[in-house]
Amino acid sequence: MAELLRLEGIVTYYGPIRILKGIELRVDEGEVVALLGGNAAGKSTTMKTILGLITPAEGRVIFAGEDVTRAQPAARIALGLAPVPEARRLFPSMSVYDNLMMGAYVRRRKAGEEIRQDLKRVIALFPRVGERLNQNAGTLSGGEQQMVAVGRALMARPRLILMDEPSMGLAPILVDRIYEIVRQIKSLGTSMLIVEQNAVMALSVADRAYVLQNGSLVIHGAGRELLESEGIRKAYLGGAG
Amino acid sequence: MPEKDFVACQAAIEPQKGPRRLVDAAIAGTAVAALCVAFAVGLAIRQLPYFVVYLAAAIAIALLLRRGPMAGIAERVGAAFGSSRPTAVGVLVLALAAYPILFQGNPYLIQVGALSAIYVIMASGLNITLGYAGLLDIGFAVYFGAGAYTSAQLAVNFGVSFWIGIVLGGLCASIFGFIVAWPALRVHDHYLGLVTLGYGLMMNLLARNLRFLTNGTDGVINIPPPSIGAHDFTRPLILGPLTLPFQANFYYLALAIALITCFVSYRLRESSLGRAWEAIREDEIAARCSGVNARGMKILAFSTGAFFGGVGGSIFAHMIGYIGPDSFTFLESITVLVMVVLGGAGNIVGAALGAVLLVIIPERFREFQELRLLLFGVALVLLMIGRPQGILPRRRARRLLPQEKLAALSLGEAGPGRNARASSDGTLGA
Repeated sequence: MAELLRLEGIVTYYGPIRILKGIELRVDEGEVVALLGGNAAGKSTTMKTILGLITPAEGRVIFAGEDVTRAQPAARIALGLAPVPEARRLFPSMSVYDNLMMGAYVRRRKAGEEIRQDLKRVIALFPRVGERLNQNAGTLSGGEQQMVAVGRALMARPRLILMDEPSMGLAPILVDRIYEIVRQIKSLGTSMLIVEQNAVMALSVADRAYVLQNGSLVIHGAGRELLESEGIRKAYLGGAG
Repeated sequence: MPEKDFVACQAAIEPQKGPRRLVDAAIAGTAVAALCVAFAVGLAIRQLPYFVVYLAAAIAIALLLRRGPMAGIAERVGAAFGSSRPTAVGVLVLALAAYPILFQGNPYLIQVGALSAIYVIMASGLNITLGYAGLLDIGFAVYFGAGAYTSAQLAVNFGVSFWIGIVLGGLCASIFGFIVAWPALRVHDHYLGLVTLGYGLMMNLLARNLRFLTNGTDGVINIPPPSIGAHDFTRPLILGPLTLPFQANFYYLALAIALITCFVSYRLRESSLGRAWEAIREDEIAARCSGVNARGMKILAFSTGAFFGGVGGSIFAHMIGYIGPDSFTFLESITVLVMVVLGGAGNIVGAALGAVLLVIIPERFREFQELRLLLFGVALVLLMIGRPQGILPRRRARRLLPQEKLAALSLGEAGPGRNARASSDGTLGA
């Protein structure tokens, strides 16, 4: 499979503190990859580095064959990267419709009809979102907001969706729903990189997974393998899953 | 409250049948006409005690319409506005056009009207920077000054026509917007306010001291008035049988440009550019994550707002015939800022209303030179307690999809009923 995203020896500092200590990671076309780890393992920093919100001190970020290490977020998103940010980060006093259209912002010069078709597709995927197009996004429930966030990412027709803790702050039944959606997006052939604390959920859909600890990748393997390996589970993923 | 608004909005955008639409148009048109008449009455009252009674009555009626037994009427009128906006705008434009004819015996009021329109242009400009993109700019007078000096000096020294000068004035002002935005956008919120405040003070000092550019504290005098063909703006305006005082020339000029400004800022808000500005205001990181070049967009918001500030300044200079450093002080910046905040940041009609009120009310209280600022401060504090979002808050101006478009988006024949079923037996609805 063709390579879509590659991190090469990424080292990142916050002031004098070294957060990421040489991350090597890749995501192929059509693949779902999970990035697991506990609090302060460096998951969000990795995400921000991929998005371009942080510039790494060392290493390279390569997306869709281009070196984007120093590129602005807007340039990366134009190349086909679409984030579903941590805690969703919708635009609370904009309507759901405007939130979804913000996802299509990088395609704003395209024909309106094409964007309208995508909007219809997103609404077909999330009928509940379609009922609330005129409502302010801030008035939606957590689950609905997560759907808008995913819908917003899909509106960009992305090549790679970056999901930052999609299960955070949601009731277990909603987490199940969100992962059903993740499976559905996977079946459409869109690549995803899912950053999660909820390892069991993430591994149930991931083709491959990395485990991050203290800023280094300590384990790398196929999703199923990691899920079934008792030792790894106890050591890194929280035994209780 | 948001939920209630939402229901009201939904009611307002339901598809209307023929007769209902006509009734709505009639209600909206009548309401606008009534407001305009009430406003004109307020302007026509000359004695101050009567005017105070008038103001008290206006505030009482506004409160009754909001909470009292007349709230139902207000809601009905609001719904009518939602569905017949073009009618409402049409009646308003007609009323504004009729204003100099109505007050042709009182050139002073026409002059005040022209000044109001100039401030509407500037408030609409700041509304783009502050209301849309959420960027606090307390140096707005700089753009006013830049526009005024540019077109004034071009006209006085090089005989450049006002019509070219106004465009160059606007462009020069947007360069001044760019100059402050480029470095200042490293800071946010109140800090940005402080930087722009300092910029305003600094530019005023420069205008006082750079004599070769601005004539220092003497200012630029004898700025020629605009003219169209052979018609000079200092001569009475003859419209068929009507002969209006020369101030009407400036009134119609400023009104036309104010209407264009409002239209442009409406189109901007509805565009993907407006949506990007709004997104930056809401959550800058999330906006960047949607591919918005936040820095570029913010600089653009500054420059666009500044452009209209410059246009306003340019009209002002040619109307008054003089521009000096005292015409664009710190107080001027604050005035424009208060207009936008008081009227409702992010709401075009709100900002325009704020501008008109803040020009006219101080003019009415001219007798109380000393007390004016005090009264003004008290009024502002009371208003911010009662309506912290401004007279017309942003929420009411939010664009909504009409019912037809909503239906078209949800799977062909699907209405809300089918969607509800889909989410109860399907798997995706939460």
